[in-house]
Amino acid sequence: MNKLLVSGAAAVLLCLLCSGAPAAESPHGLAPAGDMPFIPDLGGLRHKAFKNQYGQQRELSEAVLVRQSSVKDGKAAVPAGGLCYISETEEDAAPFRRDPFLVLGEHAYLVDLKQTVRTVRDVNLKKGEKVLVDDAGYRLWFDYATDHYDLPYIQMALIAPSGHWPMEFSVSSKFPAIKDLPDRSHMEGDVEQLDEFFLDPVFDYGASRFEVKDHDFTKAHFAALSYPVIEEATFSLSRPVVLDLRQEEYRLYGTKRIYAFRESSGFRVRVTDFSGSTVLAEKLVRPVSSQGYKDEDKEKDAYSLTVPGEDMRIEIAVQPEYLRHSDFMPWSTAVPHDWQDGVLSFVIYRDLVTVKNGEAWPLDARYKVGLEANLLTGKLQRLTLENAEAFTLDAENDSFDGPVKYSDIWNRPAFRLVADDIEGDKVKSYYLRDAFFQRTDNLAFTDKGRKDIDCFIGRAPTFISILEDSFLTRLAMPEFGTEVQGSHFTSFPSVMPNMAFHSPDPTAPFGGLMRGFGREQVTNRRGERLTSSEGLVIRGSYVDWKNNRIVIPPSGLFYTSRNARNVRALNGETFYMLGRRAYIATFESTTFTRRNFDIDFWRVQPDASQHPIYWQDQPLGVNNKVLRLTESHLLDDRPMAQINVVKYSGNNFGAPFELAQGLSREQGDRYYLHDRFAEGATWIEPEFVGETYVRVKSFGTPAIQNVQYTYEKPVRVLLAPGEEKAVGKNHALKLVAFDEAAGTSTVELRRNDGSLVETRTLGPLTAETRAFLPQHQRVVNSLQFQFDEGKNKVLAEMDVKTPFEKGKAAFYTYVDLRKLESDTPYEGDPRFMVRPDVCGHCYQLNEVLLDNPEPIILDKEHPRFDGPLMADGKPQFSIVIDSFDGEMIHAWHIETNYRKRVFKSANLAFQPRNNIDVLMGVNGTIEGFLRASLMERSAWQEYWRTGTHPHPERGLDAWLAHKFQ
Amino acid sequence: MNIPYEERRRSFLSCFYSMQESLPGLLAMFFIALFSNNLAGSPNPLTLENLFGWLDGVIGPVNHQPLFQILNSNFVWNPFLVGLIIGNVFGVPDSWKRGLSYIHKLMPLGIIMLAPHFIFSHAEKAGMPLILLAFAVMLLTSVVTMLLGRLLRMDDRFYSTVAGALSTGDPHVVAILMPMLKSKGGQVINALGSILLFGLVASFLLPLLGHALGMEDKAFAVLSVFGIGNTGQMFNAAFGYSYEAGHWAHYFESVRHALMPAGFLFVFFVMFIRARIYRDDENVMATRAHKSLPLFIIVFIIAYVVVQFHVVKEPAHLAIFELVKWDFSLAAAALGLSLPLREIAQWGLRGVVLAFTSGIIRIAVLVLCLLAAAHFNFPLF
Repeated sequence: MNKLLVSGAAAVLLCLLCSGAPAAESPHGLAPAGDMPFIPDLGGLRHKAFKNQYGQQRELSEAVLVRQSSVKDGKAAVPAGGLCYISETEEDAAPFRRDPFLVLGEHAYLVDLKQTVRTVRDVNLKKGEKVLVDDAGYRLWFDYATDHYDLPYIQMALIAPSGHWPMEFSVSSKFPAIKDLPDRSHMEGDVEQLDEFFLDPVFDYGASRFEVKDHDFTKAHFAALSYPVIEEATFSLSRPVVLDLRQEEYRLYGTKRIYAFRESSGFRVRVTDFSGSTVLAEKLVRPVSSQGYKDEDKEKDAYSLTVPGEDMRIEIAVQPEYLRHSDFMPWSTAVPHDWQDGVLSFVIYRDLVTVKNGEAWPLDARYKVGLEANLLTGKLQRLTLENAEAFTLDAENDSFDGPVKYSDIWNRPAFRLVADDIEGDKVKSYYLRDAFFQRTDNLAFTDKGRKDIDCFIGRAPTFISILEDSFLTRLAMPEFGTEVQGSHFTSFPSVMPNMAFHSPDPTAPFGGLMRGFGREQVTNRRGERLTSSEGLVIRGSYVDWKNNRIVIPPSGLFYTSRNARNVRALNGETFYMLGRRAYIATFESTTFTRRNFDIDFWRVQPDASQHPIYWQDQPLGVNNKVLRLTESHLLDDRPMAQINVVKYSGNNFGAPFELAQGLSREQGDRYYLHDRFAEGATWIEPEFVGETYVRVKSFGTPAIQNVQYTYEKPVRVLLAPGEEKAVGKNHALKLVAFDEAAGTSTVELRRNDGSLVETRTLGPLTAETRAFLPQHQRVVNSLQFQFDEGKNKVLAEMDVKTPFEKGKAAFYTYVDLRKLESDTPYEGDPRFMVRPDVCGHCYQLNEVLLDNPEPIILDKEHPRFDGPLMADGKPQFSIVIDSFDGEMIHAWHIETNYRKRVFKSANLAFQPRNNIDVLMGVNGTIEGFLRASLMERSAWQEYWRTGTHPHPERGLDAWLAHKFQ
Repeated sequence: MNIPYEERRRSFLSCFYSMQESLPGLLAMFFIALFSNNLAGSPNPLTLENLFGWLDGVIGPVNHQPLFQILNSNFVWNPFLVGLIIGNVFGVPDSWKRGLSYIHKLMPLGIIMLAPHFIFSHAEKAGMPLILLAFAVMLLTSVVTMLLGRLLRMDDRFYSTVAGALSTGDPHVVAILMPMLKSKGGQVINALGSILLFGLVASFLLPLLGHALGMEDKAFAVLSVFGIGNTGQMFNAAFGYSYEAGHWAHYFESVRHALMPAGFLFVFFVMFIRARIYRDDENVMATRAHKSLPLFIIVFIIAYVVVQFHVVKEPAHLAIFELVKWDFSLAAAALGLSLPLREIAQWGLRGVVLAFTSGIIRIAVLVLCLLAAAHFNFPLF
């Protein structure tokens, strides 16, 4: 336990130091302090969904970020770029779609973009580094490296100057590329482990391309990074004026006449003065339609007329009847189909503002404009405004104005950062005030003060990216206690028949580290340090108020044990098994394959509950994994699909499959995605990628049947020919002979009474076979000698690190082996089923799950449920309902048994709840659930801090909520 | 022609004023309610509640709490304030008065609809010792307040209103007690103001006392909840003490809610029985107007008992509470409109003296109990 605490504290310190230390370099792409305050709601920073011309919903949000600041000698210093306003859309904004965008609180429309692709060559970096790759502040982050067959592959991310990155990508120059994927469409059902491991040296992601030239575990050299950048964007700050187009006639727009003369490829639009005598502008304008390629530089000029000096941009569009004279779109649609019925109309944008990337904000030269593109589509995703020069706040000058905003009333600073109480090296009071003069709480939060004025105010999704280094610490070790979010009570219980492949309630309390759920650093025989941890997840539980009981459906409660990466045989690797350290001995995996099947786009969530029905899921074997088509885009009208492998636990496989057909950079397409995908041992080859479904020609992924482990530490034995050593109480291992050159050892296993059990030649362990270690089970099995005689299960394996030493052969022996067989009752407690999860890359054990095959019922007569029994016969944890009135749970907790003591969690229904979903302990599975709800959880932490309920639409927010749409 | 009521009577509904007579007053109440609170079904953003919300944002939180919440802005106070200003600045036309008299229907109706708000099982999590302590302190406060009221020679409707509201810890209980005790509007608002003033002062001073006594966070939360009561003010005290105390104040508040009906019903029945005993005493005014136990109280008690069996589920409770907001918004608007300021002032400062004296006694008792529990390691919570 001490180790646990020490490792936890060290992790916290490291996190805080890494993320919070003042740095001399540019703050672009870097995170704020790990413990910075987060305020989700401030009236002047908006967070709202608007619809574009086609009814597509756009989630818009604004935020203010302060990072890399420091406080010293009564002064708070913020470097250039340290104060950053972010306006963000979760999707993207492009011309000709009337896409909404927030510009310093104003509802604007993006009308034009100037896009390009930046290519940076020869980028070198080391593991853990975030290196600047261009002057704009883009960084490449080398996050992680691991191996397959002892060859490295690396995980990277391209971080935008704001700190946002959409996903980590895996690349390697050491393995066969995706194009080498052979035709496997003949495979169906379970087949044996395949030899090939795929990883592409190039990551193609729509408009982006990252090519690694060479790398190892600690450093990488990228030949080229190509990513879209936006040089210029034009916004319209007012609603467009829409006028019916009259052919060969004019319409009056203010003091202008706008004529439209029909020609074969559009309308010749002529703008004149009021009398029609002076032509101000004239051009052939083609009506806009939904095809994406029309916003390309070479195309877009044909679709609009900008009148110089008149603040007018004219487009021609077909408007449905209800859009006449308005841009109000009453409902949402998912696809940008043109309107078949409607009126051909002039759409006149006014109050135009053009901003250029890297240049001054038009109203305030103190701020520099940043335009960040969506790496997939190349369209605008983010507008940032950051301070061009460093500034300091002190007693004399305690505030710094944000950029001046455009306003219908008067142009004024969009916000003001104030630090009005700085004592020595601590700030005791600082806050942000918005354009409507509303302020946040004191961001110092406590009397202790802070050593920086970092903060994040608002709900821009960039928040999730920039907290990657510190979010787990923030959530697992909250400063203000375990946050419990009250449930939303409904008029019917959200019943799920089985919770396999589903996530817990997003509001499930997260208990973090708790004694009884192990978490520690372990070292394998190769000296690699890995975090091993276990936890508990309850999902899909509900109050059945008709029967005054709480129900946990089948698979609704699972114990999880997982390491920082997969658990490998032949390395003496350990994992937690119900509070004890277990040593993996061997495993048995296969490749599950399917062919010729359809996956529907997951679009419909009919019951609107927090557990959507996934009837579109395609099962991959029984209780193994499922395939889910979760995203669909059109890239210049070619459908692109994102398919996820969803694990039994409800978490996604790390690498989503991004697929599109018919794209080629050689043929001049702006985008490229693979038309098939392979990573590790998982592959998918579609027959057809459509907008709403994908027909799969061939698919395969690993599946694990069983693993064997022991609680006894494996013993290394050195044997000379003829020499024998005891293996457990009943057997002895004898070396018959060995051949060092051939890499073989012949051994026999005898009972203590001298009777021979079996003779086996282990190996060969040669360079050829080593090339498949440690992952390939055929080679692993050839180096292991397993014997199962009732209760006496033993195993001997060659020491693959040093197989021969001083004329002797080296072995590791395992005794008292136990087996975890998939889909069978756990032998230590048959109330629970074993669901081992496999690494989708490499066939190794990824996670041990024990779950309930039958519903668990808790009521006033049965307020306690004991979890799986540990080796000492005590339950590792118990669920205890303390106060339940038949409808609401008012108090419940989890108890653990650890070193003969009972530990209790906080009340997990501190605010009344209608389920007992919970996340306890910290491991990769729980981390996945947390990451998916990070923004909401962080917001709840803030509400919890001040004892308020989720942000009500009150004050200015209520006004703004009703003002537009 | 003036037709006698008995001749006009067709059903029990005949007792109501005609729509033509009551419409102006009802419309006045409706529009005041509409521009005072964010009410269910009304998309109007131009409300006093939103104005206060914006001012909260401008001023910034006090002890992490919105200032106007500490000052008790809510769905009763806001329309009352608007009505009071309109009534006293512009006056109330006679044509409004019949409509405004619907306050006498709206108040009892609101009280009945409040029943699902008071579920005892919500308080069970705090444990029986704390529930019993809270109950005892509540009754003690009622009794002490009523006795002190008599000593101060106050109108019995006035001091019993103060007693009910102060002991339950919710100043809005004055609105509930108004039709029960038949208190005058001026008495009700005077009592409300007195209790709010006490709560406001106590919410800033109590943390000082807690720190001086070195109280634990949890104990201080109990002191805040049962020593002050009024939600915004007790959070101000608790969060002013520490975040931990603030969180526990949230936790224990359910106990105060669950016990609230017992508090105001206790005061009512004491005064009701007293009025029956001293039938001929002209100074006994409270509940005198009731010839028998009022029907709405019987209905409320039945509803209160029934809801303890979870007949009304939480979604239904939330929906009913939205109706309660509408109901009390209309009623409070009517009260504000029909209440000249002089009627509030007429009852003087004795309400303030009473609230402060009883409130301080209650805090002293609570502090003694909490210190004793800590000293003797009694598992109070």
